[in-house]
Amino acid sequence: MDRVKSLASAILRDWMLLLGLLLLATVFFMAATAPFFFPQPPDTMMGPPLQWPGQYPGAPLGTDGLGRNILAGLFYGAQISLLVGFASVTVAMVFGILVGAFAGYYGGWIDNLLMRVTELFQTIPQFMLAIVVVAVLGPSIQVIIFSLAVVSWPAIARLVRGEFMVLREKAYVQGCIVVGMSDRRIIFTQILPNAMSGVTVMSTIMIATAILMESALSFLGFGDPNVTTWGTMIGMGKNNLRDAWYIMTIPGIALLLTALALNLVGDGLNDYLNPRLRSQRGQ
Amino acid sequence: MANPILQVENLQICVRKKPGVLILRGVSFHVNAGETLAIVGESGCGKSMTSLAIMGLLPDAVEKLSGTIRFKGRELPIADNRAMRKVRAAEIGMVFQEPMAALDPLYPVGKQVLEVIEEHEKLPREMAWARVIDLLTKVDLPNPETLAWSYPHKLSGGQLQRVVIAMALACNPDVLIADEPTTALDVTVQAQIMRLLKRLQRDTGVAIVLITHNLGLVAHTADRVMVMYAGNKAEEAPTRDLFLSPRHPYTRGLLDATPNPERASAQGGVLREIPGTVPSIADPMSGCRFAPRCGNASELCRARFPEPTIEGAHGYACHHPGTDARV
Amino acid sequence: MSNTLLRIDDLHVSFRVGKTMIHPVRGISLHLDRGETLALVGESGCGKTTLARTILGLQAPSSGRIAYDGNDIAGLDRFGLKRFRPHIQCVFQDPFSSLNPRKRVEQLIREPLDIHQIGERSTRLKRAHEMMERVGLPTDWGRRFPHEFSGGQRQRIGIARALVMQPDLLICDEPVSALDVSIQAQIINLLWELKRDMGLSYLFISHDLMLVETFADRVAMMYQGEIVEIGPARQVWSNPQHEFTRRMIDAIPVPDVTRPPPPAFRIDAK
Repeated sequence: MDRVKSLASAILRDWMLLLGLLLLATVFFMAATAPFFFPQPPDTMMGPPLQWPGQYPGAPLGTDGLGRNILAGLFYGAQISLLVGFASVTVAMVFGILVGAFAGYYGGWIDNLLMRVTELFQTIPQFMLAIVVVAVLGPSIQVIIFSLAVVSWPAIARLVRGEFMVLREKAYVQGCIVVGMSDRRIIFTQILPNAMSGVTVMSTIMIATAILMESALSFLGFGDPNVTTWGTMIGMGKNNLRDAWYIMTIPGIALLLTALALNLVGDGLNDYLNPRLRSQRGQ
Repeated sequence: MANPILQVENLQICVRKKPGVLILRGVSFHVNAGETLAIVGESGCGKSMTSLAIMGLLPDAVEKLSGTIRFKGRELPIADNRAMRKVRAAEIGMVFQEPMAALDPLYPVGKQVLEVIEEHEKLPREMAWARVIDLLTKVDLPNPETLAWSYPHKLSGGQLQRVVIAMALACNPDVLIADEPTTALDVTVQAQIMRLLKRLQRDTGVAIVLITHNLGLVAHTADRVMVMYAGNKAEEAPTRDLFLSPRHPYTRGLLDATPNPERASAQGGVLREIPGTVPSIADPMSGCRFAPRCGNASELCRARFPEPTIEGAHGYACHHPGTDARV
Repeated sequence: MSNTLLRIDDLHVSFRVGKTMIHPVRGISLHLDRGETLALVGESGCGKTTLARTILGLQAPSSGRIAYDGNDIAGLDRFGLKRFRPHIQCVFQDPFSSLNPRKRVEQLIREPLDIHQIGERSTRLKRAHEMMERVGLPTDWGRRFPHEFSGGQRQRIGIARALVMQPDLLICDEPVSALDVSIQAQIINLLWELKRDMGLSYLFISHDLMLVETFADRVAMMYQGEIVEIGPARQVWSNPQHEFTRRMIDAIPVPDVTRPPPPAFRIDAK
């Protein structure tokens, strides 16, 4: 309960964190209420094409070249962005934490082996790797999530490994060995909770990256053709860039604000979770 | 009375913007030219904060609430960092507990001593460098010409502390503040460092403020002792008086709690402890801050803070001072 | 049941730090009797902490024998050691890093019982609370986290955690060197009482000969990986045999103004 309270007061003190959370809450709200406000799927033609924002009452943010409602696209696109962002980073976290924890805790040849594999993934440019995975396995939401997880886990693994290498030398870990605790228990119940603050911060920022990469994939035509995402909307709008720039700009701003929100939350959490700042408050 | 070179009057330091949370609760003392004053106390008593205040190095989280610090009769501008840079090293030198933290790992130690000299005096390079070598010789470092070009990580803890002492004394200050200078060192090295400080004091006449928790060091190196507790001065006396007839119960408790093999048999193999812990600085208690841990505490002690009593060179702040000699 | 609890024969420990091989323990033999306090005194880097880590199974020996109650435990793997864990426990030096900051105090003290499945699940918490009381911590502080305690109180938590399984041997690695004098006395007295009441044996590692002299039965002086002198505490203090012991005693400032300063403090000494 105390932690909830202190988190709440940290949020209220830090207006950047508050702003990030509010923006993020808006995106969640859009994703959750999309079917409620727009019972029609976002790819149905709602009215005349190329209506500027405010011009046509059925579509307050205008329509695109095929007469689709841009506002509806934003709401449904939020669903995809959040799904892809959170799901891919969750998968990446599970895998990255496992690899990093074992490498950092055991060291030696286990560390060597796991880290060489991790580096192998890191040497390939992230976006290229994601495109290759999607190109090979075919464009679907599941494949996109998988491809983004594949490019995200090495960074988490390296971070977790670093934390584990520091923490395993702490006297309290030695104490756990002395009372006879198993390695698995030490890794997951003793060290991992203390290593999580950095991972949490990193993962919020990685969600933003994943969302941007998904849009980029969709923009280039590697997206799931059955769903409307912010990236496909931007991609569709590029043909009308001269006469109807709002088609690209509006989902672009949505993307920008979402990425900004996640970064603000990440920074705010960093200040809150940073162990050094924490211990200062503790005294 | 001897000539006080450093005089601290009613120094109060509080947490920034919280005048109710006092770290130093009005401390006054003086240091005479050429003497060694030991400031003794446990963590949280304010001894290190006192030394940082004198150097104008108070951390950002705290501020001076009131009081004056006079050096040779004029007040030190401790809040003015630029003005204090002229005072540091040139007039008041300082030695820290962790010599490694006081030195820059990227420069040879001789350069760092040189830098101190050049900061304060306009000297030709060769003369300044000759002075560096001279200083390193004076602090008993072997092969000073070669050693001056070594990087800090190549030296042992004791050697590093000697370099720091050389830096502190480079501009012939009148006062040297040594904040736990030997706490991080082995006992044999500690003896060497203390002997060095005493010898340098004899040769240069520098006054030393020795901040320590080690009563053994105090017994053999200090002329006078000030005991601090929870931000207050508990007792101040010439070293011999303090050890033989301590008046404040905290001083007595501290002396009794210190292991002493020569007295072990009398204690039956167990140390005499002071029960409880130091009160929090935020605790607004009005009486004596030692009262909760004191065996002689009365209603008076809990209600009112004891005014300092002065008996010649011996001062203490206690309603019920001990009178019997301690043997 | 023999009277010797711990016997170490010709123990060597060496390991690699970066590219260099170091050899911190060079052929140590000693024994510790039941109910005895043996202090191991030396300066930093003499190998005393490595020796403690080796006895605790945190460091593998390169050769030699460590016999606990007649059983050789040197070089046992984690699994083999588990059987001996409840018997040999340890208190660490740094009260700030030796407790997991995210566990509540009662959890910390209970944990060893859970691991070794000692007692019924329901009685373990009660055991933990009894232990808290025994070391002088109010039981209603059990829900707090370590950072809410002072250094001395944390050291009490560490002692409670070490003793909750009722070990025979407690290895204390500089348990009071990070504490203030008045708190140091409290912890030393607590350890002394616990030893009396629970029939413990201590291997007490310290750099402070003056401190251990007041309560240890025997003192072993360690220098550069070897034990250079071992004997009854009083005797080591008043009649040191080895050059290293003499040098150390000559440098120790006894807090007593009626005696002359120790030889190493005299300005003209060389």
